Amino acid sequence: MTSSPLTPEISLNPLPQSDGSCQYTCPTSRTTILTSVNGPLEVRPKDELPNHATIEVIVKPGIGVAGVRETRLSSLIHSTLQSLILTNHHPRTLIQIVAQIVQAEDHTSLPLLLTPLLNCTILSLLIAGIPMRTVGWSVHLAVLQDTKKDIKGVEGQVFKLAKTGDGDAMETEGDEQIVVRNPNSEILSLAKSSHTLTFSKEGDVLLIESLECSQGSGGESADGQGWDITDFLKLAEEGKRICCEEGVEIVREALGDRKVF
Amino acid sequence: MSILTPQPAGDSLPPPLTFSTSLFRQISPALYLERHLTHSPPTRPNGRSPSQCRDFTLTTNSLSHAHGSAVVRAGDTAVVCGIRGEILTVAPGDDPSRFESYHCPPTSATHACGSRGAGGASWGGLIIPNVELSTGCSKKYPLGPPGGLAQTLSDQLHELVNVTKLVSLDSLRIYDSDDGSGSSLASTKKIKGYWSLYLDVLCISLDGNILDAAWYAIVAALKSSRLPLASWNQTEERIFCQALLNHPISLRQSLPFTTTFALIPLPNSENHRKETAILLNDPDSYEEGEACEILTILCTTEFDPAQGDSPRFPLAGLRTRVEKIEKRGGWNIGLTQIESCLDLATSKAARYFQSLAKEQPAPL
Amino acid sequence: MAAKAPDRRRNNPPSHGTTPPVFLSSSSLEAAKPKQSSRPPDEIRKIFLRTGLISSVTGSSFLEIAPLKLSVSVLGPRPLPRTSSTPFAAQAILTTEVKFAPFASTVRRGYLRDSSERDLGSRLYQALVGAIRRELYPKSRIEVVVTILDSEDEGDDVNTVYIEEGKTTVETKFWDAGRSERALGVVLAGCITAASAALADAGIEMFDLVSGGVATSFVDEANSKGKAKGDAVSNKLYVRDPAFAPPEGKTPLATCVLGYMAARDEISELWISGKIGTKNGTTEIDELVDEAIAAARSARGVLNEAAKERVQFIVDKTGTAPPSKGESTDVEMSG
Repeated sequence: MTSSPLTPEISLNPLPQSDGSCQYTCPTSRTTILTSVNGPLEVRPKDELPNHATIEVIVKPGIGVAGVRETRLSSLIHSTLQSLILTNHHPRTLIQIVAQIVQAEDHTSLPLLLTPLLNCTILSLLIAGIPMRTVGWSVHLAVLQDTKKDIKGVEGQVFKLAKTGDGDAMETEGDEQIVVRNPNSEILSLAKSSHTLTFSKEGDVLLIESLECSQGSGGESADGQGWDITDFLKLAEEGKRICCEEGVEIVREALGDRKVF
Repeated sequence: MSILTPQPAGDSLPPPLTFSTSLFRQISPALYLERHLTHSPPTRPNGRSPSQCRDFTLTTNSLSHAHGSAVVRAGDTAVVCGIRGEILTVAPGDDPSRFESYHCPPTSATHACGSRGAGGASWGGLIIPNVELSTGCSKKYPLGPPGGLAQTLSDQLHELVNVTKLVSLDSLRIYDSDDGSGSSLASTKKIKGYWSLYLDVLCISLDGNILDAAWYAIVAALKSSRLPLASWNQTEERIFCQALLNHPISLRQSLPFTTTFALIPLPNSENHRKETAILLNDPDSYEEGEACEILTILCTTEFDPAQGDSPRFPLAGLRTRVEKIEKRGGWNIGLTQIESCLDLATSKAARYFQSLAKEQPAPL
Repeated sequence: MAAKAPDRRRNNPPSHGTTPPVFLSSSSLEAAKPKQSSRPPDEIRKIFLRTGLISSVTGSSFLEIAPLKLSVSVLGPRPLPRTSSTPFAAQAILTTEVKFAPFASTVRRGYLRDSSERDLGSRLYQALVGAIRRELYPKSRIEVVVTILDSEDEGDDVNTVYIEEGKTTVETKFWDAGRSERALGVVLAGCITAASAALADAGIEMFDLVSGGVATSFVDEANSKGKAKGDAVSNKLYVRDPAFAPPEGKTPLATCVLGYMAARDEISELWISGKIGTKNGTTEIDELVDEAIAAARSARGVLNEAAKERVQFIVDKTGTAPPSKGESTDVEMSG
């Protein structure tokens, strides 16, 4: 597995001052995230929860000051972690997570940023020894628009899924959908839809952020876009396999002999 | 609906303390909800069944200054959306093509496309949706600049605009006026500017599930709005509008709608390992406070236009296309439940569609 | 516009900046002719006032006077924030905020509060603060938030350019000195009336309900120019609750807005702007104020009706029980 081009570059504890930190680089898009976790810390009185730890997630953009996109990213990560972290083990404390986008192809693209952010955060939580219910892993899948198109430089990331025949004249030419794992922004711009899927190692769905992302000027040309739910379920099953098998393997390998599992 | 069956309340309860239901509601929301939902049939505190959404009303074009407006009231959630068009003049030598595509990637990795627009707080495109919650809509939401919820909602709506590609960006072009000198071909006309649309959503009353109401208000307001006819005036070298002529905004045929579900965990004493949970359609803010998982589905259903613009029943034969699924927090919603939620989303979209079709188009 | 930094808490327009549409009109007269109302000058417009529409706040009201639509929420009384810098407050601290929706007026407004909104907020504060029995709510705060959804037309000619024989004139036709005061005055009077209805709905104890009234004095257009002001007194026209468009052939002199407590016969807030003659100054002010009071008295009737309706609604709903926001269910509860 280590020699596979799909493995993200993970560097643990690059920030020795924090309780746990991680730098994660996506193998294809080269999106680099640096996270640090501190906790349990003293909590500000107004944020204190009587039975739970307060989780604070701050996403810092690569360029400029944080805008609404960063706020939304931190709220997505926050709600995922809320269910992962056993917050009742450290009541009346603060667990602070800071995620810095170091490098990204497109700083405004939510799908390109979300998977690295989540994976990096989960790894640094493990390093920091924050009690968690389970471990999750996130994968980003893009379904390509044109099945004929040849894509370079993504060998080993492409797989095909049989499409359910819904009898639609428009889509008879391709009876399978081409899916690219962890696409970069170039491939994403060719994609029809983008799916960020996060599963726990037991196979429970933690987060789904799936959206139609084909380009165009909109209006009537956008009629008929979207996907069939059965295609999505098939894709999600595949995503689940990737997260539960390969994702867990990557985490295990990255952590090495650290006894966190 | 495949909702996990709630366990009946155990018999080994301590002797009941007597206090009023409203007090119980206040001091222990989790238990209060659980007791309601473990009844058979499960009934929510607001009297609805788990899969039932609130009744909603829609009023369009009730405001005098907006180019289009809609007021949506779903239960105790009320939002007003006003659409205001403003003119963006294209500077000579500027390439306007980047305004004409949704999901346009940055031109290169060095972010040559904009001076400061590449990340963080940045300048946007032609359609600018924003949500304002600091209107005293709820005692839980503080006054002042937009907090996390309002910012997240604004970004979600912005994403919905991009995902659905609802507005035809081509139709927002403002051309050089042709003085009848033979330049009737569209290709020879020069683009002088664009309409940019401010979609401002004000929440008047907040009682949960603001996203669905806000998005529906935006769709309805866009559908009802009319922009003045604008063109470039050569003598004055600026864009002028005709006071008496206007045109509707060109939208998609199949309108996408969102449906939001909240999942309430039901901790049961016998089996700690696996919690049961129940999915609620269109949660109110009391239910949202206890929810651990939120699922939003954006879908379009292709209604038969031959049937007089109204959806045909039963809905079984209709094809539904999903355009966005967002599920956040928790681990209880499985993939099979998403499938069953889609049916509810489709039937809700049909109701949205019907009430929108009833609204009269704006007077000319 | 583009020079400013983008708002980091909202979605932003394109970096080029956008401008409001400008209308081109070749025939200035027919386009800009304001509508004349057939209402007699001593009659105010119909007021629609309803309270208790927002369930998640303590008190609320919604008011509609022709095009003006506004919603008022009352939050509190609730405890002051627990910070070391908060001083002890023997009386409740009242805060008032007035905000126009971005789409509420002819020109799109930004989200940041501008000076006229802050001004309206402080005038509303003055009008209400004396009426509330603040000593009954120590160490707490009461917040009144007014959102204006739609306001009276300030005239489309703000953004209209007229072409006359090939020459463009950007001059607006029906401009007059008192225009914005008159428009704001109507808004303020509406705010005062709606806010006291919302305070009553919240069950906050008050000495009396405050109702807002507005009146404007007009003179003949001929008189206003160059003539001695003393002559104008005789043929003054007082209009209660003036619409934006002045009556035919009249020029506005002064506008008076006030908050009035009818049962106590007290004025809590008074705002006069415009020209008031110096010779017979006192009587002119008195006359104008009397007209505004009369307008406020008419509004008070509506206010009383709304309060009565709400009390009746609560009595009908809960029997004789005291008003409560919680809904009662008949599910047996224990625990």
